[in-house]
Amino acid sequence: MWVTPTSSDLRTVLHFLGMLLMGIAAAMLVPLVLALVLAEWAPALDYVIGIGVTLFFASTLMLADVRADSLNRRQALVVTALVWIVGASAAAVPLLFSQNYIHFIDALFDSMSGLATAGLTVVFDLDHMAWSHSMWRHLLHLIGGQGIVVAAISFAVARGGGAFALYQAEGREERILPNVQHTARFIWFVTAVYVTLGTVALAIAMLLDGISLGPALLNAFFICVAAFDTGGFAPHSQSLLYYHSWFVEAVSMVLMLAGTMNFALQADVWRGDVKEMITNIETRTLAINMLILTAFASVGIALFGVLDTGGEFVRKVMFHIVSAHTGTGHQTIYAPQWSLTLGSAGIAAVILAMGAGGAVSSTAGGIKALRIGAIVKAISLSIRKALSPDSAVVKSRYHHITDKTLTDQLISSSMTVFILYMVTYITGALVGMAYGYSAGDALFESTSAAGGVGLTIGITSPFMPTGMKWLYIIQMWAGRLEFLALMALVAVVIISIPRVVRKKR
Amino acid sequence: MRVRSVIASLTVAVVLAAVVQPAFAAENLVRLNDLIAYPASRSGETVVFEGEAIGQALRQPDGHVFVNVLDDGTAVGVYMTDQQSSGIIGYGGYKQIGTIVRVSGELNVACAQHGGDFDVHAAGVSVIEQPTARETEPLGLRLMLAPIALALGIGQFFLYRRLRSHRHLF
Repeated sequence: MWVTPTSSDLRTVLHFLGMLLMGIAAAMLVPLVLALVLAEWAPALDYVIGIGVTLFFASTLMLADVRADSLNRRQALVVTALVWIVGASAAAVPLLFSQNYIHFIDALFDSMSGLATAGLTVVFDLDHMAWSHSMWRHLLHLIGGQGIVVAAISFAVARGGGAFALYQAEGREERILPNVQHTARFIWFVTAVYVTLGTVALAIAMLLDGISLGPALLNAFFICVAAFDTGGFAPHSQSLLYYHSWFVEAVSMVLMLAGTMNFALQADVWRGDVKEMITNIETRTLAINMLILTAFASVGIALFGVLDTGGEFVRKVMFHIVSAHTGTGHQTIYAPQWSLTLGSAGIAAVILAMGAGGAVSSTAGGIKALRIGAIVKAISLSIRKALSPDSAVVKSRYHHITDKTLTDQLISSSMTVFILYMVTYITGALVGMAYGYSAGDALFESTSAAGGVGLTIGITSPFMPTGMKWLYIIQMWAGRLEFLALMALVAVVIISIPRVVRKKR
Repeated sequence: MRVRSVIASLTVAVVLAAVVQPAFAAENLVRLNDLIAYPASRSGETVVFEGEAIGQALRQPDGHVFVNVLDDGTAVGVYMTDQQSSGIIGYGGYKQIGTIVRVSGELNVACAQHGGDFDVHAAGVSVIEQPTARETEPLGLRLMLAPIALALGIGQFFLYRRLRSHRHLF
């Protein structure tokens, strides 16, 4: 049954939306402090303006219902859907002033890309960007990767009711610890460990390469956050190619793989159950898929004849399959070189990897390994059933944290999400083709946007058509929320229209 | 007479070479946006381009350095000796435009020495222009907007806090 939202629902939604926006305003203090330390005066003022504007709108929204203490699942879905676009708009304010973005939509594109951990960018003159603006872009990866809502829950927003509803609405399915607030804090703890270790390792490598201490620390932090949060932004226009370092690429690959793992799995490994890594359906699916796609791409590329040695295959083929599959988007190849170096087989493998995505309850995007594993098992189950006697009871089991039986519900939900992603990838490609791009390029870029990856074949640039910018913003938004929250928002708007019309009469 | 005409021809040739060569060299300059679209079959060609040294020089284990050179939004890594990089005294970033250099070198679309990276191994590096400070971003509008935005934001926040603390009255 469709429940028409009341004005009380709307006020509650606005109140919590304001509370979450408050977090965005608080996060802007980090680049503000960095700008002051580095004497970047104009960017410092950009963040003062950003904080003021966001604080004003957040407080105004919270005034909608000063009594609100909790929210139900329906309201949580709408809050979650809205906070990503409203949050991205607020986050775009300081970027807009930065001279690295030509129009507001460009700043919005990058802030949405940052929050959705996509990594596609329409930034202009990135190599001359202020450090504080680079910090903000990468901080958006950190906030979005863990989830705006997770960030808020860990700081006790929505302590009363609805915290788990908010958590689920953000595309996460598993409660790692009994208390959702503890779960959110655990996610931050794991992130802090990886980011610290990764930053230290990368900073040492960069210091040895001759980069001075400050830039080495900042570069290392940015690359580390973008890799672990499967984001893909970088402080330089060449992405990881800037560093000319196999070590930086190797550490990034480890971080990308760590970031794409389910946080529930990370918790199990943390508790000492390393065997879970080998038996879990998601890690198995990811490993098999990556190996198949790497082999497929390697054969195609070997026939193409540009790359020769094993080292080149690891750094150009495996690296990009991992970057695509984990939904990161770090790149060591120029956009025009995709087809010239990797050939059609390489590009096809990268598109398939981008579409498949990482693990559920991780920072990665895409269809997700658990769903692909469930669909493959369902196909196998159907074949076994067809070959078994009528009286036989055929079941399929899998291991995901605990031993489970494959249910119709999991198959159905997996198929639903699979179809929605496929429709989004293809629709985006069709729109791209309508704008005059080739089918292959349009599908590559569309899959990259909706899968939250960030690899680019050259379509995404400050000079691409505005319609394409809007398309990718919506794709990144929908893909990050795995459609449910966004569709709930659309449904609420549609069922509210007759009520508004009746009131006007 | 014959010797004179040979000398005259040679003089004309030298003068013409001196006048025409810079123009010819300028025509041979490749833009980096075009360079990165070169197919692998052009690996090994000598290319000449100009651009700004950005970031920092990246030391390599064999004593060489990589300098990333930026031209019209596209940067390419140039592998050079320490001596070749010695003329680069400033690297581009937020606060300065780095040394502008002219590089001639061998193009590697998938460099076997550097893990398949797209790079250029420099044969010659010359400095065109020394680093300059970047034009500072204007503060005027920002200085006007920042206090207004902050005052509005803080004011609205305290209004909310006040009403929230009296929520039992609503």
